Amino acid sequence: MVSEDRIQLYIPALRRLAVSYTQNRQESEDLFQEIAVALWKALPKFRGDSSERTFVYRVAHNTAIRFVSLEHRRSDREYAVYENETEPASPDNPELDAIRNQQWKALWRAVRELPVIDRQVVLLRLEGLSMAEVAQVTGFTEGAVAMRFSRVRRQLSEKLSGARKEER
Amino acid sequence: MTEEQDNGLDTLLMEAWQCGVTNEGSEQIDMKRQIERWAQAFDRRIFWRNLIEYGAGVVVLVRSGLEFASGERHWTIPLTSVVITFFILGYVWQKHRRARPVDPDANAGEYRAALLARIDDQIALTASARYWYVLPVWIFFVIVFITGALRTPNATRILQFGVEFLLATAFAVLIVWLNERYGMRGLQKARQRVESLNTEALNQ
Repeated sequence: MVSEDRIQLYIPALRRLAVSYTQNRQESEDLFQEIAVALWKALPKFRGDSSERTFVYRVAHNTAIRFVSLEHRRSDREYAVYENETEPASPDNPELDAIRNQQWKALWRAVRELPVIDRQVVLLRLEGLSMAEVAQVTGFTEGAVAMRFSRVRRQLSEKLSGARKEER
Repeated sequence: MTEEQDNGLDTLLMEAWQCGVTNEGSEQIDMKRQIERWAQAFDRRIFWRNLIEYGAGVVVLVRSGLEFASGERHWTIPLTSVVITFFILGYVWQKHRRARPVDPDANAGEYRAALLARIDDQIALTASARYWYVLPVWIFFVIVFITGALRTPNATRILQFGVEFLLATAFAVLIVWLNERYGMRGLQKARQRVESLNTEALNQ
C-alpha cells in the first residue's frame, strides 16, 4: 500500500517529470501540483495490482498528458525563460553542482525536444524503471518499449556528444 | 553498440538525469502537508464551481416561486421559468452523472482513449448547447414578450414586442456563434493533441 508519507520519496522525480513536460517555471509548478493532487486522490483506490512505482508513474504521466493536451499553451519565449531560471541545487559544492547542472541541462534539452510518447518512455527509463515496468505504464509491449528506447538512446547520445563538442 | 555498452550508456544517462534538480527540489518544507493543502484547495474550487453552476438555477427557481405566489406577473411567466430551469439543470446534471470516468491509474494507451472519449462528450455537449440551453431560454423570453403584448394589446405594445423579439433572437444567435467559435475551438484543439499522441504511439 502506498501511504501519503511515501509520496515524499517521489518528489524529486515528479519535479523532473513536471519540468520535462512544461515550458516555464509557473507551468512546471502548476503541473507538479496537479500531479501531487491526482496522486493524493488516487491513493485510496490503489489495490496493489501493480508495483508502487508503476502506480505513481502511471498517475503522474497521465496527469501530465491531460495537462499538455487540455491546458498547456506552448511558447518558445517561455521555454527560454525557464532555461535561464534553472540553477544549481545546493550551495555546498558549487563547482560539482555546476558540472552536474550543465550535464542535466544538456540532457533536459535533448529530452524536451523528443516527441511526447518517446519522451514518456525515456523519462521512465531515466528514473530507473525496468523495461517491464515502462511497458506497464505506457501500455506498450516490452519489445516495443525496448525498440523505442534503443532508437531514442541513440538520438540522446548523439545530441549530448554534439553538445559537449560545442562546449569545447 | 554491444549490450554492455548500451547498459553503460543507460547508467550514465540515468545518473546525469537523476542528479538534476531545480530550485524547487531543494525546498525543505513538509510536502505531505503541502499536498494536503493543495488537495483541499482543489476540492474547494470544485465545490464553488458546482455551487455557482447549480446555485444560479436555484436562485431562478426561488424567484419564480415567489413571483408565482405573489401574483406579481402573469402565472405563465414563473411557470415557464420553472419548467425551463428544471429542464436545463436536469439535462446538465444527468450529463455530468453519465460522464465516462477517466481512470488516472490506467496505462497510457487506455488513458488517452478515455481522455479522447471524455473530450468527445464535451464537444457533443457544447455543440448541442443551442438546443438544451439557448433555445429554451429564447422560448422563455418570447413567452414573456407575448404575455406582455397580449395583456395590453395596442400598436405600441405590439411594436415593442417585435423589437424585443428581434433583440432576443439576435442575442441567442450571438451566444450560439460565440460558443461554437471559441468554446468548441478549444475542445477541438485538445482533441487534435490527443489524436496526434495516439498516432505517435502507433508509429514505432
